[in-house]
Amino acid sequence: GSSEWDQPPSEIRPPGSVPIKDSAIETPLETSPNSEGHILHEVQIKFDKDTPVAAINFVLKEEGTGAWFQHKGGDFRIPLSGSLKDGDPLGAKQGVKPEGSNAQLKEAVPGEKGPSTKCISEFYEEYPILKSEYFEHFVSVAVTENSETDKSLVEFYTDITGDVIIHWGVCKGNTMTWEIPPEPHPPNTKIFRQKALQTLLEQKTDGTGSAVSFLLDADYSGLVFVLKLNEHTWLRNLENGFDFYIPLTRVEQFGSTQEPHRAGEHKLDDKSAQTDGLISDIRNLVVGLSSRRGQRAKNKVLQEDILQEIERLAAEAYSIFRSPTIDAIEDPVYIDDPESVKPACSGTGSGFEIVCQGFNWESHKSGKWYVELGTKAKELSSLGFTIVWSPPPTDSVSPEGYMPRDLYNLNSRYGTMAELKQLVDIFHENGVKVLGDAVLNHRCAQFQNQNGIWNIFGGRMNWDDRAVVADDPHFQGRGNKSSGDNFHAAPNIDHSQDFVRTDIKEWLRWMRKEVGYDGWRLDFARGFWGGYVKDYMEATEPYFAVGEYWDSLSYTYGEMDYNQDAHRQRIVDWINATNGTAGAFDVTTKGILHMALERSEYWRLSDEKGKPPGVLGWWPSRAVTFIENHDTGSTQGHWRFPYGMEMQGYAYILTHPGTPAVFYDHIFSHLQQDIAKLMSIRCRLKIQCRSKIKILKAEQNLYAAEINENLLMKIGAGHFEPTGPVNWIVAAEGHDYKIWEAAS
Amino acid sequence: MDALQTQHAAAAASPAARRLRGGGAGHAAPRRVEFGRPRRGGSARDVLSVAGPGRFSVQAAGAVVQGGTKNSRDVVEDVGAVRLFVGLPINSVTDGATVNSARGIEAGMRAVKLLGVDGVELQVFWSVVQPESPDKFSWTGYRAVADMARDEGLSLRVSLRIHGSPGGSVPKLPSWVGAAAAKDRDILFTDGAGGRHEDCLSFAVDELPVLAGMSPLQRYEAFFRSFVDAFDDLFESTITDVTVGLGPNGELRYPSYPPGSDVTQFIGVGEFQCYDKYMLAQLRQHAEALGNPMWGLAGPHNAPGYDESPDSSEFFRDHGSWDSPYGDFFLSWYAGKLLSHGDRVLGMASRVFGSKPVELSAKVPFMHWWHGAQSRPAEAVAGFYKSNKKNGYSPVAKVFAQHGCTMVVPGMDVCMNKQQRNTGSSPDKLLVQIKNACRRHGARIAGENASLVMTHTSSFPRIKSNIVTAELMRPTFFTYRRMGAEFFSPEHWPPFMEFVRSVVCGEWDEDDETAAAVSTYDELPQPV
Repeated sequence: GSSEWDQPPSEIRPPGSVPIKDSAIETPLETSPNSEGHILHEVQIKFDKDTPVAAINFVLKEEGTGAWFQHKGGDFRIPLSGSLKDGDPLGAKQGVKPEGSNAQLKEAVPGEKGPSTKCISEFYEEYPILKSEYFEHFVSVAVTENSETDKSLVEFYTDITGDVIIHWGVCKGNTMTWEIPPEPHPPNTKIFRQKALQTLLEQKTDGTGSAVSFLLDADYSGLVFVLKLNEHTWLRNLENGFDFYIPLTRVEQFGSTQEPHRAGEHKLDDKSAQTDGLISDIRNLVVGLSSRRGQRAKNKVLQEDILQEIERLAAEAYSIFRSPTIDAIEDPVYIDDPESVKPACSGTGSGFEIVCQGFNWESHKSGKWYVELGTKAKELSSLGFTIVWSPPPTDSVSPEGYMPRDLYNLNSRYGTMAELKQLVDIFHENGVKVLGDAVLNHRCAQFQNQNGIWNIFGGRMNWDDRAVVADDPHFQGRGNKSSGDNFHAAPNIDHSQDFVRTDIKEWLRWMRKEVGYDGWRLDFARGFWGGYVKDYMEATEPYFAVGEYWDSLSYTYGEMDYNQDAHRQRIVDWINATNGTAGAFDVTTKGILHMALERSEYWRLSDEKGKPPGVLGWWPSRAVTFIENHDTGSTQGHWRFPYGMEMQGYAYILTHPGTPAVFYDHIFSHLQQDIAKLMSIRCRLKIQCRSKIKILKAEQNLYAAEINENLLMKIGAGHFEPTGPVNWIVAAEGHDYKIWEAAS
Repeated sequence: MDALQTQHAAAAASPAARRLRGGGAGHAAPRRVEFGRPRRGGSARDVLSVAGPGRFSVQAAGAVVQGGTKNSRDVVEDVGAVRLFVGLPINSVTDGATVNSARGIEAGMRAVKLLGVDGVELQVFWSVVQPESPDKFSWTGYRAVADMARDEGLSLRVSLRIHGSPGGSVPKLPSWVGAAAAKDRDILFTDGAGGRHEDCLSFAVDELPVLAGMSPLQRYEAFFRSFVDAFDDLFESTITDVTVGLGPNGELRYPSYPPGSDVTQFIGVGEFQCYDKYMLAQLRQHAEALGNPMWGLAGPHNAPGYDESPDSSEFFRDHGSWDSPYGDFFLSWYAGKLLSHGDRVLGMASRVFGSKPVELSAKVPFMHWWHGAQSRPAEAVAGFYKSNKKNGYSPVAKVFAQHGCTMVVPGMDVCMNKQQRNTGSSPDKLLVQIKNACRRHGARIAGENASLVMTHTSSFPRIKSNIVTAELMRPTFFTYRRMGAEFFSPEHWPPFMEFVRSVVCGEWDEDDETAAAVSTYDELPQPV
């Protein structure tokens, strides 16, 4: 009698049933035509009266569309035992009769008598199912001026079959107030509540649609209408949610152009015979643009503009007023004494970390990347890297590893699990921590469900479609809606489910222990709520963790906005949701650097408060700065850093607060010496993720800043020389960048 | 077409400019309600706004016509538009010099201006303006905000705050005042347990030279005069209203809430604040003068604690001590001290601002909780009491009227059904009580909402019905508090927009136009 679902005993399962986890089965309905020629879908479930079944719960699902049909938002329920209460929403055996073209279903329960007090007599119920379907139709309205009669010929035509009624009125001036034109009215017209006319369109004999035409006095400014198909179906202008409006004056700029109901069309017919009339109309318009009408129309347009402006201003104000809370999050205490830095309780490492992304998009090709990367461990360590980010390690549908499948199978195109463990050991021997690339947002299935959809997982985490979010129709998930954005190439994992989180935590802990990972790089963190990440981080206590929250910066008319607060706010919101247990890649800073360098707009590098404009300006200890990664650069090049300006980028991120990450392709290139120099300066001057920064210049061709009070840097072509009492010594210099350190 | 006519009628009924008679309340304190409003450049509609020229006052006008003249006292003959203000963030300026979130304030001002709001309200804190020494005022920050309002064509209502603000985002008192209070703790309000209100100087020291050789009243006056000097050029163009802070939270009241707590959150009975030595001395003197020296030794010994029920002890119970000659003695004295404080500060303010074309106003508390109890305990401990169970707001309204001061009622959003029944809350009755007091003595009223935190968006209909009304005691302005992240949040901003649009022009133009059409198929279910 509980509402929990249990799988029915095997002996009563109809043929063709497929078990879904432990709690349900899916049974295809048999189809048969009924007497009226409609297709009936039906299933019979037969079982012995002694079978201990309290009730049958079911929902319906339409194959193909994956649409679910429920009863008042819950399950259909057929109680088979116990006394029946009055008003039980679904008394007993019922047939469910869907509306429209859908199926009809009957559930037949044998009418045998069970134990006397628990008997349910035979009954039959019908319940409606609402199914929405989209059709594309059009309505065309042609208005032809007739200068002789001073009337307009209005012609309606639609391809909608069956009875179609136009519910219409006319308006004068520039109001959209409905009026009824004087008689005579078109045939088949009724007056509706003294406010509108309802005219039945005449069906074409060939069944291709309906049409009507009638004459209207030319002094009306417009015709307004909606369509009525039947008592329950009205069609209105999908674009604005209101009525269709057809201007009858020739002033097209005053009428809003509108597409009636999806594929509709609306045109003004300019037949050459009416040229004279047209010209005179236009003349009338010009002469008699008697102000009020035009003014009002203009005002209406302006009003829309103003509304948009208000919305924009409110959004801007919102982002600005929200930001002070960020200032509060970031403790403005700057740590001068590195000895006092507390180690790693919050996924930020020591604060002095420099990350190396230890692979690119091609690294899987050799099949033994772990071995190859291992040979570079000593070199990376000596360059000053403290953390290496290793590629996604699991069995994967794609060779690069970002389409994970069996999460406990760590043999991948990068090498075997044994080689991976060895790689981690080598780095540890060299004093470098290793991040595992954890793809938690999505997971590729190993099996198809009965509909042929790949959403049943295998391996040790053999989830079914309940682990898949429900709002991506491609994968027919049965979980909850996604808590973030969907990645559309694979089933997105529903992290709101306890069993999913339990399994993921177990898996992450297993990797910490078995592989020896020190922390995580979290792929596609936009895909699910940061609060779940907090859960995972607290369960695995990583030394360092960084999430990839990558979405688009703000642009207006194709120009990148100066103010990217909304963008960094989203990243900060995510970090905040993780409770600061993970940092995030500073995509904002990369984007702004692109613009600043590419177009010599270095003023972008200071926000309105004179702070760095990226995440590092708001929450430096959680900002992982980078200029390139395997997606943006490498052989993919989705968002490549301005060519030839990489060293300016590194001069920025390697001198600034935040935790810098250097891309493999850069450190093993001709840039190595220059990058190494910057890294050594960072280490020597003890620049760290919370170091204090003061922006000195942010101009068209010059950006300069003082960091930690012992380092000065500038980028850009503009001239800059340090001044003041401190004795500044040039520490590094290159094309359009220069770095000084304070003489000790 | 109805809608169109309404619009025109509205425009006609809305005079573009009206001036407060005599230009200043101080010179000719109006004895009768005076509904003329100054409406100057600040609110001139030279910028197109979505609200359009039609003002909602037409609805009141319509009611006048229909209501006839049977009881003309209750009906406003001269229907001026209720002016709508939006409060600026309380911490717009915190260091005297710079504007916090200046770009946000600018964008916010522009947004509300376009929406059709008349003006903004700026809270000006003594602690921010004169933070370090009595010799120096720093107006730069506030001046910058005022200039923003002027540039945006908005009216400005300035609230001068002499006491601290809850929430802690603004310093409570100037540090040099704090230093004086550190030397003499008794210049701060004190409760029966000796708890001191660090943000509130006792009314008993108003005229004692406790602040670097001058009295608090003299210091307040210097603060006000300095404000007039710094903003003199804006009085003709932008500043239309000055609201004088008379006590904690800017309200004329005792700090009857627990010291250090947030006054806006407290809904207990509260406690009497008469235990600093200056208050006690005055109490003793008063008792002796009346020949009952025993009554002057302390406050009531049997009053409930801050959060206790009025029934928990003898004083506020039905027929309790409050209803005795002693109770009347004490409560009358206590309320009288509040009243004379209000009188002093308002008298000074009307001298300072008398020559300026501004509407003077001050705020009273809206303590609707425990209003159902006979003793009205929350009102009584805050200082609102009149003998013989009469209207405690009445003497206050009288003083306001004498100084030509509008009474700002900060609870126009409070609905009965949202309050806890067990506190005997009755916002409706309280509002009627306040209005009656003001009508009797001829004081104008104005409105505010309690605070955004407490104002649920569903309170908008309540606000609307309180400010769009044809009755005599119609608010002259309403200030919606206040701009900030929550104000502009996606949850709050759209309903607020709707609210303003519905208040400012009845309905939006489009709504008028489509209303007729929509109503023709109003039975229509959700179209496909």
